[in-house]
Amino acid sequence: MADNADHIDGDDNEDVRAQQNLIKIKLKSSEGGIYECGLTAAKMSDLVKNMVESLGTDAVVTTEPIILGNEAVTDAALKKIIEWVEFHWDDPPVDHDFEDEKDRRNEELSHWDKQFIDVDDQALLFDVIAAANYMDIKGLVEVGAKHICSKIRGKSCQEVREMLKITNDFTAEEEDAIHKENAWIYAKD
Amino acid sequence: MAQQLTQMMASLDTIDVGEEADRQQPKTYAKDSMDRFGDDLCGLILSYLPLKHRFPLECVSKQFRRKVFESVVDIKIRNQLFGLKGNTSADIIGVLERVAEKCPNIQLIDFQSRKGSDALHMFPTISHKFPHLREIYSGLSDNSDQWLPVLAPLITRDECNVYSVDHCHRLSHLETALLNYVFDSTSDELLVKNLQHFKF
Repeated sequence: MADNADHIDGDDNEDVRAQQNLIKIKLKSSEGGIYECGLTAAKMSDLVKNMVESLGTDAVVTTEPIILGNEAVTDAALKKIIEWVEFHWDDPPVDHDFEDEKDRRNEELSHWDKQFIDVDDQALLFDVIAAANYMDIKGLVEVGAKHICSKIRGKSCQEVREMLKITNDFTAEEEDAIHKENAWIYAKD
Repeated sequence: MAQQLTQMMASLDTIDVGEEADRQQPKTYAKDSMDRFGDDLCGLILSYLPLKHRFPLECVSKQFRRKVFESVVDIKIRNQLFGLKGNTSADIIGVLERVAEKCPNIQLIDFQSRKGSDALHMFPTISHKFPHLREIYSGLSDNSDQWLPVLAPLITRDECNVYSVDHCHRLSHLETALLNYVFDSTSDELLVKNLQHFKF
């Protein structure tokens, strides 16, 4: 662990992170709702983090809310997102080593995350995922992705279309050709 | 004159509305439809599926077809590949060939199972179908001589008995029963300089 002085800007130090999370900043949804969020939690969004860094923490705390202009960032989605980052802000930092990343990708969601993301309203679920993607919150996008994959695993393409309300833009011939190309995988023995 | 102008404006209006509608149309997806996601997000979501479960989804939509195999970067050969029973080496190579057609970005193939390492000797015939292959995990076996000179630079992990590691410059993980293979027989020089994990 290189504890060089240049590097201690708060992000690596647990106490500083906890302290900084007591500082509240305001986030504004595309519908105009304004919500408070701890600074460390909010910075789990790379979009917010970059804004805070370019504007300076003081400016962000004292002035206007940060505007999240993407239409997926509805009031309901932003509330969910704040709930998620406020729960996860003190997670250990993500290791980008290949093996670890593979393990993490294959890891099941925690009980909390499962309950969090199991949203009946599919429009809201997609808003949360698209908004997390826009705000660049990689951990939350991953939670959404794993949730969707757990639902479509082992399903036929028609079942997946119905579940996720996807339009079939293939002609019958095109679809047939793909089925034929992949027929070998269903042919056991 | 005024009437003309009004008419002109009215027609301009109509044109505007028409263009607006044309531009908007492809963008208005139902909020609860995954059609609303762009290719990147769609691909990212599908990247969490095991390879076997991706094949049935290729025909969901054109977007799925574009994205579903893109994130496949590694494949592990198991004794029962995709639940296909009784794999011979030729079957395994056949499956790999089909996988190569669908998944253009494979970087790593893990041949460490028994059937997998048996199939390795046939792999050079199709290795050109994996343009991005950077790594092979192998169990080097008796027939190594035939393929090792071709594939050795790609091998980064090996278990079982090592017959010839001297081409495997990038070997980082090794499990072996015979230590003397790891050193040059005349100079006693260590042959695998990038080793990070070693099991004896």
